[in-house]
Amino acid sequence: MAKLTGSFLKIYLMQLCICFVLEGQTQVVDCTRSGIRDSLVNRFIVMGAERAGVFYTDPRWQLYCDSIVAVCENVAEAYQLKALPFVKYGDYLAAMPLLDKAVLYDTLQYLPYRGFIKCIFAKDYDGAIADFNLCQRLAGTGGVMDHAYSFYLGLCYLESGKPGLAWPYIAEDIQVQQGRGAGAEVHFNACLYAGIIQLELNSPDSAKYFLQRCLDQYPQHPEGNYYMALTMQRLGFPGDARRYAEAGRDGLIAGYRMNEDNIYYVNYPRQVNLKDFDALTDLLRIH
Amino acid sequence: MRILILCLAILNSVCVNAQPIELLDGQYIDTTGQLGAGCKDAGIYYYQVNRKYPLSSDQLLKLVKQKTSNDLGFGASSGWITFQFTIDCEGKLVRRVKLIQSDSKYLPSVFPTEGILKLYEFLLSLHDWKPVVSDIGTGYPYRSFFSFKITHGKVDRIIP
Repeated sequence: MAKLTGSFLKIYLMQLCICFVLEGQTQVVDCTRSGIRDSLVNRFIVMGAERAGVFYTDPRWQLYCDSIVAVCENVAEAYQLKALPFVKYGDYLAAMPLLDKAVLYDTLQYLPYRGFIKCIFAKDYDGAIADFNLCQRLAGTGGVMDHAYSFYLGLCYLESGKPGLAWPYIAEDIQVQQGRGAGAEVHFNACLYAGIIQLELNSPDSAKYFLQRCLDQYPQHPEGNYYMALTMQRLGFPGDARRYAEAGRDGLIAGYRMNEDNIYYVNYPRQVNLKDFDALTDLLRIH
Repeated sequence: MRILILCLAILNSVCVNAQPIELLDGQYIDTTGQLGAGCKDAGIYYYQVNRKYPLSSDQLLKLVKQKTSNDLGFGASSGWITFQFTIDCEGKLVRRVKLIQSDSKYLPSVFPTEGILKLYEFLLSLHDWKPVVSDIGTGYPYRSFFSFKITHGKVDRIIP
């Protein structure tokens, strides 16, 4: 406890010293310059918190971030960094006002990020749709966390129970990826969600086509196999359905996952686990 | 006497009669539990040890609907109800549980206690938490959470 109090005191005194130093030279710190803002992040996070071994789950992390905004309140990254532990621990009440500030100070950089957090973490699909629509208006095509805005819009509509509205967005995402030149591969998870949407639109043949594209790239994909099993069952091929269900279960047991960076924090839409495969196996056995 | 104590202990473990309590660091739904002496909190979170609850969000949603009939008395309210807690070295939820409530605009909110208690009771009914044990057999507690997204008074999603 004494050690923790000492650390807090040290950071507080550091902040205080900087405030005093800056008091006499306010005109020197030009917070409108991105170089200045980046140097503050470097000073307090890279050379400060990270060098001191302070991870974002540590309460002192907040003080390092506060040190940045104490000098320049418009450092958007500082608010995003402050929000991290709250986002990952389900405290959206604390996280979202911080992300709003990040968006306020650097809209193009952090609006997609906030949309991503709303879509994948908070499951706030209406909010995410509003953010990604604005992203498209402001920046045209673009992406965040390995996927295009249209991918997330498709996910949000799918999860809102509107597969018909989801489809044009996922189709757009696939089209853009295909347009990157000969041999360009479409992300297997874009194919996965295209397949799921088609299945929900009662088009199992089309679902099979996209799920096969997913599995061609990543044969052990648990969700790819799971939804392919459902598709084959729907198409009247119970033997194939069982084969895919088994392949998906084997993949999951062997440690294969959707390969999205954030699945350690939160389940992705339609993500499955072993209990889902148990239920699927029962379903296939009954039919 | 022993039987009486045993009955009371069992009753305590299955009944939820907690009320939200304001403490310095926020609101709690339950403060009756604590980590055992041999189980030291090292500030580990579920995502650092790959310990999301081993049911998919859809399965959890089905379960909560079965157990609560989705009748929570929340009217048309929307928002999030989050429970933050610790899983001890044996994989049991420690009944010291923080409660965070917000509305659909991410502003502070207050949902009726009766419905919150039903969700908390559901949380306490989950017993498949996996403990964390190091290679040398030492157990570690870890922090986890369940967030219920409420849409028009009903549980719409369970996070993580």
